[in-house]
This record gives sequence, structure tokens and C-alpha cells, in this order.
Amino acid sequence: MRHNSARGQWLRRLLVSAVLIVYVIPILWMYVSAMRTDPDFLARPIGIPASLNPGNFVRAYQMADMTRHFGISILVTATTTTIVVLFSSLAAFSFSRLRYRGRNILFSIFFVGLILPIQSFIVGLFVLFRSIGLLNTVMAMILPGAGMGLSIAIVIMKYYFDALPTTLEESAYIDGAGTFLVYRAIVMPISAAIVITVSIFTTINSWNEFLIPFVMVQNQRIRPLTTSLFVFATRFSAQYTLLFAALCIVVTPMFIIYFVFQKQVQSGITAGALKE
Amino acid sequence: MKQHGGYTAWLYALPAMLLFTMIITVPTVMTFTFSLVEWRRFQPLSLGTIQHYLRLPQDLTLRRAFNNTFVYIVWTLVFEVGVGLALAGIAVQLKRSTLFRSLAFAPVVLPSIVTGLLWQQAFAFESGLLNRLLRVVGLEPLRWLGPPLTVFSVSVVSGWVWAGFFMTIFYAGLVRIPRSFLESAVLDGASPLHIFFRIQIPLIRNLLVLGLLIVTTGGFKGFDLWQVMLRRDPLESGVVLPTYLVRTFFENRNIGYGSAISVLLTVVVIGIMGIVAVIRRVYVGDIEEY
Repeated sequence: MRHNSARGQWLRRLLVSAVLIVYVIPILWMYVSAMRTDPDFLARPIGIPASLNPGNFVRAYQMADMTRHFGISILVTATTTTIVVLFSSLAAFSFSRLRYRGRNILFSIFFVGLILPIQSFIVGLFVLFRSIGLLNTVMAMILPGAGMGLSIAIVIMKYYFDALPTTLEESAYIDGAGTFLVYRAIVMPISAAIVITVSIFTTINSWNEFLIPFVMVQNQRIRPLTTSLFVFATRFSAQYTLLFAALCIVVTPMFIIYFVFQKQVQSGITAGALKE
Repeated sequence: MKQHGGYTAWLYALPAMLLFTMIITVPTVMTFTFSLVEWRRFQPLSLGTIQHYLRLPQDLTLRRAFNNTFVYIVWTLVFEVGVGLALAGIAVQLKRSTLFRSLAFAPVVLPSIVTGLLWQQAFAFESGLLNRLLRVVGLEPLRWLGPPLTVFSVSVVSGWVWAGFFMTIFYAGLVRIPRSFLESAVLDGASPLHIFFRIQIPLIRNLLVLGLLIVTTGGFKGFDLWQVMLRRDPLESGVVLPTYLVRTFFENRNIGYGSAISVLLTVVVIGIMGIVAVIRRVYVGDIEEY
């Protein structure tokens, strides 16, 4: 398969370098620009900076009130992911392992959630949350995020459970175990891999969610990172290097986590996106 | 599996059912109902009007939104699926492709607000990365985020984000192709490009159809990049259905018409899924399990 002629080698190296440049240059530009002053940046947006100083990071962190918005994002993401994993594993367990009338119909209802885009219900969602007084609360982010995450999580987990052997469970039932004990002590422990996959893509989706907080939360105090950054960018649109610094602060922890867990993240996201 | 659970079995599905009903089912039904109601601001006046739907075909902004979406879909087929396929083709040729694939996938993980703001800066007329590079090579700077380039530029950013995602999917398909398929072609003297286009790509055509599905429906769903990058787009040269929907409902407080757009968008997305399902049946058929 591998083409080992000199020309092929050379061409391959050229292509790989071109690709890497396209991905690395914008990121590099962001980090370097974040450490420059506005006049220096405006005079020469690319090229060697006059000096590098990390002061912008501190200023951006304080001016964007990052501690607060990181905290909100962590709260929303952790709660959303917990709800999704708990509710969807319980439901998938019942769809896969328990026999009762109507279970296939219940399961198929969740397929509707794979088809409908958020735009199909965002208007109703807003009006509903307004009428029950949950608009502008963290619940207005957690509940929609969790509700939208359920479908794919349930479908993935159900098929995963279906493929598991049942011998352990059978002997547990013979020993008099109840269904909840089987769920908690047998099915969940041997399904750690799929729980991690579901957690990963739910976490990333929730952390990156923009439209829900954009629509449902206008209160600056409880904005998550994504929409708070939008407001920050609108307010300080003329302070280029400050904006770059804010972007770096948000992105750096994600890059570290990504490159540590890249395998799990890649397979987790592709699994989560393959809604079929 | 024997009978387990009895009367309490369905209770395990109850929390998920309740949450799903509250977030998806009820709001969807509400939206569909709203589209048939006459409103004064948030006060319903009367049910049973189709005036919002009659307004749809005459709405020039909506027409522009559809146009933009189609152009965007065509470009993203190139920049996401096409480039993703090329990247996968390069990756399978490499002895060690882990770093290459990780880098290309990295933008997928980033929040779209960050990608959008970063690229908005890169597209800036005076201080942007791209125009500076153009100047360096002696070309005229471009207005990247204005007509006629608006949709093209947003598509480029979409490609920057999602090409790595499609590369990952296609790569997984390509490495599953048994060596023997390719080795016999090499013995027959086929060139690598010939093998790629005539053997490898047809063998992963199910994944290509999947890419087609994701890109075509994605064109009608994407909101973040448009909203973030085109904050200053007074001519609405980059209006698309999701941003127009949000503007109609949340800024102009037009709940009936917003809901009608919502229903239209839903019908279009489900229609596309139907079409792609047909394409899959005809084109992919029973792809050989290898």
C-alpha cells in the first residue's frame, strides 16, 4: 500500500506540513497576539512582536470575571452530565433488560429526539420556561441541556447493554437480587466504558453550548463562559489583544485536557455525533 | 432474558421520559400550535390562522436565508467532507498519524464562540491575519465577512472545525479495509491515487452518505458561528434560517411567525433525512461487511 518513491515521500511531507500550518498558525497567532500591546499588534498583526508580556491574561481574567463564569459553566456541565448519565442508564437498563408492555414504544420515542433540531422546540421551550418562572436561572440551562442529551445517550447505552452477556445477572436473580441491585452492582460496573463515552460527549456538548444560554439566560451573573465571552467580545471589541487573551484563557485548559485524553475524546465525540 | 421487573419496571424509564416530555415533546407541540395562533406580542388572540404560513413565501429575508444555507451546504460539502476525506487519505499513508489526526481533530473540541471570535479576528480587514498575508504576497485585502464572501468565509471556518471530524470517521473506515484488497491492486500496478478513488472511497461510501446527511441537515441547524462572526452584518448578507428564527422571535418578539419558521425548518430537516435515507438505500445498498 505505502508508496515509497522519493517523489511520493516529498509530496507527502509537503501535504502534511501544509495541513499542520493551517491548524497551528491561527492558534499560534492567538497566543502571540494575546501577549502584545494593541499599538504593536495594530502596527504589525503578523511578524515578530516588539515585546511579549503576559499582563493581558491577568487583565482579561479580571475584566471578564472569569472565576464566576468558569464556576457557572462547571456547575451547569457537571449537573447536566450527572443527570444524563443517571437518567439514560436507568432508562436504557429498563429498555434492554426488563420486560414490560410498551417498552419498545417508549424506546422509540427517544429516536424522535435524534431527529428534531433544537430549532423545532426552542420557541416553545422559551415560553414554557418563562411561564413556570425558570427563565434566567441555571435550571434554564441544565434541564434543556440534559433533556437534549438524553436521546443519543439512551440509544447508545441500550445497544451496549443489549450486547452484554446476561449470565451474571441470571445467577444474581437466582440468588434473590432485585432489579435495582442488578443495575447498580452488575450492569453499571461492567459498562464503565460506555458510561465514560457518554460522559465525555455530554460534558463537551454542555460546556460548549451556546444557543441555550444565549436564549434562556439574560442575567449576566449566571452566564456561562460561552455567552459571557460573547458579551465580553461585544463590549471590548476594540481591544484586540485583550480579547485574544480572554480566548487563550478559555482554550488552554481545554487543549490540555484534550491532548491528555485525546483517544477517549475523539471516539466519544464521534460516537455522540453519529446519530443514526 | 426472563420476566424481570414486573409492575415497577417502567419506573426506571420514568425520569428520562418526564424530562424528555418537558424539554422536547411539550415545547415542540407548543411551537407547532403557536404557528397557528394570532398574537399581539405575547398575548394569544385567536387560534386557527394560517397567516404566518402565507407570509413565508413572500419573505425576502427568508429567501436569502435559504439561498445562503444552500450555498453554505455546497461549500461545507467541499470544506468538511471533501477536505476530511483528503486528510483521511493522507493519514492512512503515514506510518505514524496519531499527532496529525489529533491536531486536525482539535478544533472540534473548541467552543464555537472561541472559534468564531478567533476567525472573526483573522478575517478583520485591517488587522486580520489573512489580509496581512495577502499584503505580504502583494495582493489586495478582502472584505471576508461582507458580501459576496460572507457565506464562503463562514464555510471556511466550518471546514477548519469539522474536516478533522470527518477525517476521523473516514480514517476509521479506511483502516478497516483488508490489506488483501489493496495489495492485489498494487500488484496490478495501480497508482495510489487510483487505489484511493477506485477502491478505498467506494468501500467507505456508507460513511460518505453519512457525511452528506450531517452536512445537509447541519446547514439548517448551525447557529453559533453565524451569530458570533456576523455580529456586524447590517445588510444581513449572512442571514441563515437559525439566526433568522432567533431574530424573529427573540428580538422582534414575533412569536407566531417565529414558530412558523421553526415548523418550516423542522419539515426541511426531516425531508432531507428522508431523501438521504433513499440515497443510502439506492447507492449504498448492502455494503459488504469486511
